[in-house]
Amino acid sequence: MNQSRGRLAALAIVALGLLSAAGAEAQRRGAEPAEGDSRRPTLTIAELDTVTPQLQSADPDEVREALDLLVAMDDARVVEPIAELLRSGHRDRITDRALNALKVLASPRAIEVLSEFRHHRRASARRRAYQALAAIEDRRVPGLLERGLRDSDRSVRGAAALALGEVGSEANLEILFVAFERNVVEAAIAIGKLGGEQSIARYTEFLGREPLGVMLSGYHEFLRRDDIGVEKKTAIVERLGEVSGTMVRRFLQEYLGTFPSGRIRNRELRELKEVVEQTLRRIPESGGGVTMGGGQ
Amino acid sequence: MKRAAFVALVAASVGCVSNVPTDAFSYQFPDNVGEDLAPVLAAQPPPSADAITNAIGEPVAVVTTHPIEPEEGSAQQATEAELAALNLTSGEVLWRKPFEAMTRPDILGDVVMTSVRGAVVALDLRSGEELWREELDDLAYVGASRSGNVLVWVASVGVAGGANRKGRLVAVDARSGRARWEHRIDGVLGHPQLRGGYVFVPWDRQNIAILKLEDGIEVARLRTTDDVIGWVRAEPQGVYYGYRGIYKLNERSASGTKEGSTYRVAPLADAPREPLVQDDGYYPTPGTRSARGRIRVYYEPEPTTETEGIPVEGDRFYFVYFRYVFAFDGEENLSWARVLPRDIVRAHALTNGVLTIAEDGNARLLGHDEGKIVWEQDYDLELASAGLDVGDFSPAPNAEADPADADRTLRSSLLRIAGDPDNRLVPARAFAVELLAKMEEPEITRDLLDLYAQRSTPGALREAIGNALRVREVGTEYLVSALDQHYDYLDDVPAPPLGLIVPALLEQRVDGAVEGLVAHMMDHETPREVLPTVIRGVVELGDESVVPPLQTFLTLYHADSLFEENADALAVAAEGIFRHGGDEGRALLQALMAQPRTEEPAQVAIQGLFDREEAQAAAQARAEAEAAERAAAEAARAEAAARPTKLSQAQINEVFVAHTEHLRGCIEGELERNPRLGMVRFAFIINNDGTTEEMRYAPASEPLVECLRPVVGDLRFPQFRQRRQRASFTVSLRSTPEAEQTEDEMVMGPWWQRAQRRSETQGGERNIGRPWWQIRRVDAPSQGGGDGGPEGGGGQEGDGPWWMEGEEDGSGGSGGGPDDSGDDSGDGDSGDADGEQPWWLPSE
Repeated sequence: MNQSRGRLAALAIVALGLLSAAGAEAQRRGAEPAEGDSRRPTLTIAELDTVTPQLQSADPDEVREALDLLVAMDDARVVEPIAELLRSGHRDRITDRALNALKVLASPRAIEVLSEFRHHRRASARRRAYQALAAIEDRRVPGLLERGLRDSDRSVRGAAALALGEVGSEANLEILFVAFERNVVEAAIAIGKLGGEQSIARYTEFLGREPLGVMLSGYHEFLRRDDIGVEKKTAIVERLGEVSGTMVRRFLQEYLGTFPSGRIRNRELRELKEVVEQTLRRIPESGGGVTMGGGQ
Repeated sequence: MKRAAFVALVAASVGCVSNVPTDAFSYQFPDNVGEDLAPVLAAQPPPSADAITNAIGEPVAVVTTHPIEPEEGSAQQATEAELAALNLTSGEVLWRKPFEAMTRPDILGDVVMTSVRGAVVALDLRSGEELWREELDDLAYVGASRSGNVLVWVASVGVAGGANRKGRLVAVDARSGRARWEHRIDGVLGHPQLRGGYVFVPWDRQNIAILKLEDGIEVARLRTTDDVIGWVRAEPQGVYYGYRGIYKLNERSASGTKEGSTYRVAPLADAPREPLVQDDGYYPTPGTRSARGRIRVYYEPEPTTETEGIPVEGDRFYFVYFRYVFAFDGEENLSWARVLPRDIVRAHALTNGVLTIAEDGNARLLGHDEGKIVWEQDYDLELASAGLDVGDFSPAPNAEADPADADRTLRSSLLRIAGDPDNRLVPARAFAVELLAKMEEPEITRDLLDLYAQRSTPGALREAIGNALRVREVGTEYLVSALDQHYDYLDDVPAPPLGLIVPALLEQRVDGAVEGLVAHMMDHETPREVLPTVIRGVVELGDESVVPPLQTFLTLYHADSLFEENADALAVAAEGIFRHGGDEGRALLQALMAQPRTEEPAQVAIQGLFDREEAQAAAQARAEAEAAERAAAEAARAEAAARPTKLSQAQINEVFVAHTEHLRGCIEGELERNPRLGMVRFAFIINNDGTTEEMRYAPASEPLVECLRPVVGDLRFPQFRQRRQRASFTVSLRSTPEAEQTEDEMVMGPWWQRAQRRSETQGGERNIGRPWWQIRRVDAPSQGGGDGGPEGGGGQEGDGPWWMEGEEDGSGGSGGGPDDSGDDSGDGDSGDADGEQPWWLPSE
């Protein structure tokens, strides 16, 4: 037992090292460390039968280590034992860790158990389930995420909205607008990421009704998208210029910083930049501006 | 008579002063005397229908208004408090004047009585001009009544308690106010009533003093011994009195009890705030804006001479609660209900409905049958109180038909009241809910659920709805369908009121609700506080089919922090698995209990299930054991009761016969030693448990005894009731003469065979084991000595020599005799239940 535990501990250290070095992209099945890297994992799916029994351990540390090792295997076949672990009911930290593990694995095999955990009574578990779903590339996911917008917990609604912004499509816009109307502020970001040019006008109708900061989070997405035409972006900038104020000024200054420095060859882009600069010049450096929403 | 004469003498001696205190309100005055009451009753005019009594001869209302201070910037003008007289027929305001009336005006003929601070005031009904006033000092004007030119008014203080209790009863000329007579007492007086030449004055809440109107002398007294008298009411229909219930004044009133009087129990006793059927006669009726009087029952008694009951006009009681009017029939069945725009300051029951006067100066007649507004008049006044003299007002209908009346039903009317947003009136709204719950329409269940779900519904009303749904047996399908609703933030759909629905489902045992309940059990939006109730519903209404979801629930959350402090939901789920899950379920529970990560409250709950089962099994086992014990004891008692008092000789013989072979061996041995041996006799004591003691043998030869002792020592006799008995058994060794033996005896051989055969054929008679010559002859004389020569066959008691007889009690006979054992030892005594020892047994 002690030898087994020691071996697992060693494996866990390796696994933890791998995880800490992975980064966000690596969490979505990113590249393995390069050959010759001392951190290159030695853990493979062949170890599954060795590690899986440790999930039944009464020692939560062992269970956590086992989870980490399974994640390090980075194979869809580890989903089933993790799902079984989740369904067997564990302490909060283990449950959350297991949900996070499924997020890292991002396997469609996990959709079923994650779908169940969208209805877990603990909000943090539900939120993690939605976040894990968002990591999975599967056509079923956006529909499952929509359910989260109806949740009673604000953080869950927010997580679902953000997740939809990542993996959703225009098909999800309608419900996102409904959610935004119902004060799911994160829906602004999702709308900004998913909405086409025709959505901008609808989105702008909320200007003055929703906090300015919330509105700017959506405009932030619109303005940075390549598929949104310069004309529409110009309209956004000019509209924000009418609102004016310190927050808008700061927003436009940040946006200005995204333009290439020096001479811009693209005429439309150049004109857009000029509009931004002109708008900034019209906005006083301190004070002024129209009070809009509750966010200023 | 003597009393009256004495008073008259006193009055004469002081010079005919009309207001000299006369004899009344004495605590020594006899009460409930039929002879005193009889002349009062005889003087009463016969009952007649309600009629107008005011001098104008029209239905009249005299009202007080409350001052209005308009809000800043409002165009409304400020007004003072006013007094106004209204003609309800013509709709005109007869007069109005600034007046700060403290009490509701009483319309008395051509006079209006009211009060201001510190004084009672009389005004002319036609013009409103003040006629007279009287200072009240520290008393409060309670009310007045009039008959002819005499007006009697009362002022009093102390009805609410305290040491200061005073009352003033004054009879005056109605128009001038000149005093005729007066009483001032240390006690609380109520609103007086006049009829038939008498004044009826409620007094100290238990009495009615009846005084002659002409001189104020008390002539009769009624006192209740089992109730309270809060008011008296004198109408054309008769005189009535009471507090919550209604009494009618007649000869039965002298009984002083409810049972003995013409009495009607308080109508609508379950209505909110226990409304009175009459304003409390001891309290001034406010003339300023007040909640007093806004909750009341209105009715008019029918004119009748019947003494058994108190019928009411139109068979109607109208319960008014501020803006709501509920109409009930005499059996207290609801006929209709109505909401009016403003509070009702006064009402009056009529033959064709109820007249209401509202705060906004609007007078309405609500029809008897359906409560529709059939007549209305708007006086555009802000009223505080209203005095009425309308008789049986019956105006021509003038109200426009209300389109809402076309669809109005009793159900919709009650829902309208229950859902009214006026939170002053929650008790009446809850009353409406109770009335709705009694109705049979299933849709009412849905209506109540919808009402409950409204955010604006106050807590007290929700509680009333919950209570109502729990007892409602119809409409359960709406409870089930309500479970289809689940919380949705985006669509703004609240969770259904599970705390309300589930108890009702459980109460009505609605099995069809299980699926919906399971869905809510698994729904994370089900509020935590109601989750145990939902799971309880699953467990109680479900069967083994609910085990899988219960297992899923319990397994999922048995280690979750959500139930760290309160694991009630887990406990109920565990109970469900325990109850419906069979062995598999129990195995799961054991496994969960054994897991270290299982939250302690859950572990305790699961362990408790097993412990309780064990305890119940132990208790049941104990109960069964005790029952078995009791049954055994009862059987033993019965068996003991069935035992004979003592054993018969046949029963004794039967035992010996069963051991014949053992005895034979010993006796044959003795025979060899003593060929002359004629018999062997055993004398002993049998204990009631069948054991023997003090065994004696005859002959007592040592070898014989040694041989017999082990055999006879183990003999067990049947049990019997008396503590012990002496017994004997004799083995005859001499056969009967051949000629006298029956063929069977000769064939069967030795005695033991004969004895056994005889036992079998003769039903164990006492002759078994006896030589024939021992059998006593019935008529044989007592003989002594001799060797017991045989005289004849035996088989019957009393056939042989008496000294040879072996009695059941072992006696050797009544006179002793020679040793008939065949041995001269003569020892042994077969004993005698009565204590006599056979001669051949050694005495102890």
